[in-house]
Amino acid sequence: MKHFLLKILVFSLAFFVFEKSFYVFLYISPSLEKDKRLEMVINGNMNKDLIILGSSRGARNIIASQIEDSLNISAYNLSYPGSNINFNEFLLRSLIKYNNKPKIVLLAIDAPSEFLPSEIMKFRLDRLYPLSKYNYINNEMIQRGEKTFLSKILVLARLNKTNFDIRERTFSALDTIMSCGSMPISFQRENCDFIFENGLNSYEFDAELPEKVKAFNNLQELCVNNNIQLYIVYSPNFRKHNLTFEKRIEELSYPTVSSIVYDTTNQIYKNKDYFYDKAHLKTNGAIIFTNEIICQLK
Amino acid sequence: MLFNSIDFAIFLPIVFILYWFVTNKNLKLQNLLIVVASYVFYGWWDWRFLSLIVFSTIVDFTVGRKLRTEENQLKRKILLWASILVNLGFLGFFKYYNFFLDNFITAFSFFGQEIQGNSLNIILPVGISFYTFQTLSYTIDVYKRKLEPTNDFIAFSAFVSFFPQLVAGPIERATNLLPQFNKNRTFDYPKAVDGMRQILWGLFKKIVIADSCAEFANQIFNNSADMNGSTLVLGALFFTFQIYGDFSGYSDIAIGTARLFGFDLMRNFNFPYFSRDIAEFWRRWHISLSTWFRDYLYIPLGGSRGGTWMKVRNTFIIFIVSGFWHGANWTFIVWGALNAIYFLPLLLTNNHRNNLETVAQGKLLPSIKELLFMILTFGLTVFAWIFFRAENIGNALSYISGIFSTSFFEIPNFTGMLKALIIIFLTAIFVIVEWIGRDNYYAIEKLGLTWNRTVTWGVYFIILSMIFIFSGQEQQFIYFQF
Repeated sequence: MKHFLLKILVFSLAFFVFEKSFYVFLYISPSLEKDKRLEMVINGNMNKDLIILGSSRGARNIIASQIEDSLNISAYNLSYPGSNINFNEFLLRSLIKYNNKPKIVLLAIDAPSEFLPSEIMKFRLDRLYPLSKYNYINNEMIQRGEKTFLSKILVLARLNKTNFDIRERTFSALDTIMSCGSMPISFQRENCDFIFENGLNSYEFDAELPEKVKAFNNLQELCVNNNIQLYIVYSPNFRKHNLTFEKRIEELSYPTVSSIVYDTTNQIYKNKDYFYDKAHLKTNGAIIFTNEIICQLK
Repeated sequence: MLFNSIDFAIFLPIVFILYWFVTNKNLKLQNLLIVVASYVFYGWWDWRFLSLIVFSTIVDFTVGRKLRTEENQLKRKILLWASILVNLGFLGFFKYYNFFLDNFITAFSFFGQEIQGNSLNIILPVGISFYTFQTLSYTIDVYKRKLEPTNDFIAFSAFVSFFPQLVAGPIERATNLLPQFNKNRTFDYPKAVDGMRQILWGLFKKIVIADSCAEFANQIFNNSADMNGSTLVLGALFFTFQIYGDFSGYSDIAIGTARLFGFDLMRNFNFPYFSRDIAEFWRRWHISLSTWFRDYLYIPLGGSRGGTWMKVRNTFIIFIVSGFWHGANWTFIVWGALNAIYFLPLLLTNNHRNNLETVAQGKLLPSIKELLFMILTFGLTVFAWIFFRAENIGNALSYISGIFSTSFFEIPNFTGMLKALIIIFLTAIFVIVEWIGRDNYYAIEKLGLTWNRTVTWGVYFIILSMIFIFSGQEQQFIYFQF
């Protein structure tokens, strides 16, 4: 028995030493990424007056450099396509922890699906994997059940399969990031059925996920506690603006929170030439919409 | 508690130390520790359902004792049926209630009768199909006087709830496992080392092979309407290795864990995908269930002793019941029936016991004939798995019609093709390792035993590293749902 336990112990120790050689994959992973925004955040290199958060609607529809030039303040777009409110709350929390607090945060809300279950809008764990060498990121993954506490001890438990993909990442036409963090698109999606939806003005309250609502509340709390002016931004869709959802957001919003709704009377937003697809503007549309935001912020 | 969880990684050493260092002087105490540990293991998932295990244990222990003293045949039969009804009653309610209700409603509406029935939101207790069959085997064996009933309630409770095999088998026989609880157990070093090696291989099968294949099998099956024929074939192949890696991996971990505690569980898998006919496949796949049905259903029904009709009837009964055991869905029934259809020609032509020994024993490669039969059997199995995996019969049929379309000749196309190629490569290596080790109890049983320790450990390090690399969030074992 003692011999067995001793052998297990020696094996474990030898493995413990062996597995440290995998640190090289942890080390090189961040450098292979093209999108360095999250790493900039946790390295304290994101000291801006205005930050834009959101999913692809924030990334594509709002051009941070345009705001910067017009308002003469520093601005950066930290919106991640396919991200949900939980991820945006995490981003803001990280931003405040490691950087100078921004004065203004624009949250591009996904109307009307922000709090609903979604296969597309996720907590972007794929953005965290390459940065798992950072304890802060690893702790976040442990908290989310993606990693176990073993990852605090073992390099292998911290690594993910993607860390072994040592090819240089490339940008596609869809995820090219400007130096200001925005990701506008200059072309139109093929085979997109551009029929303006007058649609229903309803909203499924019962389908809301409590954890998403909680994340929204936490995000507001962060803003209040850090004297950040939060704006909820409704960007144009190729469908009628959902007032029921807007009302729901108003219900959930803290008194200090302001809203910026796109000009629903502007006929441009019913013209498909300004849209990439039904949920995203093309660069020409994004410029117009960003101007609207600038006017509201002035 | 899942075998591939951090909880189990903490639980196992604690129980191991207590078992061999604290309770090792007293057999009763050791058995009691196993009962407590098993209940903790099960209760970790949902403690409420522990009551079902405890109730089944009490019923079968009592029935067993009464059967010892009772000589009146009618009363003995009543006792046996009482046990069967209690055990199958629980199983029937928790697993099949909604299925029967829905099908009755559908059947009545087919004949123009509208009846009302409310489906219940029933949680299926994990492992109920496994421990129910295990405890039933005890009562039936005692009834048939093949086994002396035990007077030791603790030992019997340990037999019913033994944590390594409680939730997904192997479904043990009382004749094999129960006597082991009555014998003093001494620590056996080679057995423990072997157990650790089998656990390592089981984890590799589960985490590296099964969970990786699952990612693509799920993607392809869930979007089968949008996939071309060749992709659908690939999806079925991914599922084929997923289910094998998942279930045989679980069995390896269970058997290996039991060996650490000095127990020998029955073998559950014997390299089934190297079978040369379906009869051989069923002698090698989920052996503990197949032999359970053979001993407690097929043989009592007359087995293959009667005429042709009897053989056909009994074969269909055993395969359909086996399919239904897997789940309350017509897909499992069709899967079972399909296997009966595969099996019958062999039975009726008396060719069902042709391939009893390991394929190409003592040779590196099989003969062309063996290879062709292996490919044919594998192909039939993959085809049947489509029904097993599909959500319903309609989905299975449209999946199959998708395969047999012109798009079969197109190049497979789905998200993550490059990643899938890596998994295919890993699976191919896995198949080679399994082929080389097919004469052993499990593939790496003798791997590296004669090698230099550094090399052997190097191989184990690589396997362990891959387990870590491929493990993300803990994945459920497929057979937990049965």
